[in-house]
Amino acid sequence: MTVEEYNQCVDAHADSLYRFILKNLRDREYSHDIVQDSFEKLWVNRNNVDGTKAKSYLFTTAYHTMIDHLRKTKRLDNREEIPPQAITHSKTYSDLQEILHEAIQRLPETQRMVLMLRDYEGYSYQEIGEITGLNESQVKVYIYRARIFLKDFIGTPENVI
Amino acid sequence: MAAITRNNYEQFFIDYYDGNLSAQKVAELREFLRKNPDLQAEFEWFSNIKLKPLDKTQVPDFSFLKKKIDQVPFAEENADELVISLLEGDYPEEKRAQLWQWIQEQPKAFQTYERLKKAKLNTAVESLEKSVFYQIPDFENDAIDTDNEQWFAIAAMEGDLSENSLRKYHKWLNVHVEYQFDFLSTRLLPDTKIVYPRREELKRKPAAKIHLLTFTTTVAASLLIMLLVYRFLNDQNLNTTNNKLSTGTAERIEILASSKVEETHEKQILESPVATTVSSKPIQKRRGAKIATLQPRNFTIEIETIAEKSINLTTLPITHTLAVYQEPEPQIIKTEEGEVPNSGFWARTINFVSEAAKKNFGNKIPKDKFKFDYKLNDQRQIVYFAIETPVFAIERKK
Repeated sequence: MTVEEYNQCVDAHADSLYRFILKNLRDREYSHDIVQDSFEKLWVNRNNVDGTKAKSYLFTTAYHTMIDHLRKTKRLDNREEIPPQAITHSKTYSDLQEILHEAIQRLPETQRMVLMLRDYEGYSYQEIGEITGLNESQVKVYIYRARIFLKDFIGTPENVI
Repeated sequence: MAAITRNNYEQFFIDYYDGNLSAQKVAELREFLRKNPDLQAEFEWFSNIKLKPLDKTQVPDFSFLKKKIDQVPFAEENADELVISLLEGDYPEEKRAQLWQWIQEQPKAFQTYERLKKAKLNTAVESLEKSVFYQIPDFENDAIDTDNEQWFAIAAMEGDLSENSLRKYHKWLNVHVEYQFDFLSTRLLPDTKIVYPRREELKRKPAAKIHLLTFTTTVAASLLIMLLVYRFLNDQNLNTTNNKLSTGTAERIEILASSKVEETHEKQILESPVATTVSSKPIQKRRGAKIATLQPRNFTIEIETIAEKSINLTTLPITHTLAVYQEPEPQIIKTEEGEVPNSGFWARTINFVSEAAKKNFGNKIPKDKFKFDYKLNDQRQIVYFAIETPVFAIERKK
């Protein structure tokens, strides 16, 4: 990968990568760090990474860094995980995308990530599997379950004016 | 059985109360107690600790302590146990889907699952996965009903249905209109307002192209700098050494004697007393600078410095004979201080140098610091000599 190709990658993928991380972590500073770290790794391994696989490389790196971070955070944050269904909604939304973005925060992290990779980036089940280390069937099930959850969420009258 | 002693009597006390002693041993024990009356009280105390077997009805029911697998918390440290119970079919059926969901979300647990399932028969695992884990209908073969219609709806939206399955689903939907839901509405759109603010910082600049000429110049300059640094450091070291020996301002000087004596004049020179003077020139601040010249006719001695710092070399009004430089025979050296007995060339040369040193270095150079070297030819003529001191050196080659 040449410098030019690498810089094209920055232009093409920095925003989407940042968006993907920020939506998952909801921590701007740490999201910056992960983006920077992912591109740094890409630069270091530029001779081993095919230009066409650069995006996948970036998302894979970011995904695993995020997972590690989430695990550490969970360990520190000793609160009991609350199932999405148990959360009561006090807010109401007028825009469907706003509702969905609120809803995905209530999804289990793996479901949330694979759904984002599917919808934001348009990755196939196989590509998502390569990024996340899951098999295709698992990815499919996660996405299907996530969609059912979103459908239930937006279908709840109290969530929509 | 061993004899009863003060070292082992406790076990016999216990056996006695448990009724495990023979009549002979009982008699032996009584004899032992008679001889050791101080242990009588202890013997009686043992009677109080005799255990009685518990009535079975008195044993509490500890079965509640037994762990039920579905009570094991979903935690990383329990992953192995949970995965094994799932694969072995020990996990309660109604909770399997929940456990499977957790396993899928925990990388460590899933790795364990992947590892352990290899140890199980594939057909068993496939059957288990199909029936319990994935819960995705077989779109081709399964009939659509109200339980699985959502899976068909999502599959239709995702493009996972074949033409046949899609037709089947639409046909079913036409009948069950109340189940119509467009799953496209669950599709997330990227929030384009979010942009990475430090994008330019991520970019790299192409490496500058270095022309061959620039490269060569750079290398040459680097080498020059290294040479200068080396010389500077070298001189610094010399300064340190010489400062200990000289008066302080003097650095190392090197006196090089170079002679252009012609063979024909050698005898004449040998016997001609010559007045020599070292001029009072300031030392040049560079290595090898000539600071003085001695010219006894055809014989020239050049005094040079190798030091960076100058010494104030005063006039050396030395008058002496250099005529015997060829032969190390005893001669008389005439100096301003009078005639100096000399045992030969080397002594005179040493004397000459010593005089110069006395004048210039405050007589700081001890005699043992003079090092001499010389070579003779077949006619016992000196063809080379050299003197080295910590402060200066003189060398001549013929």
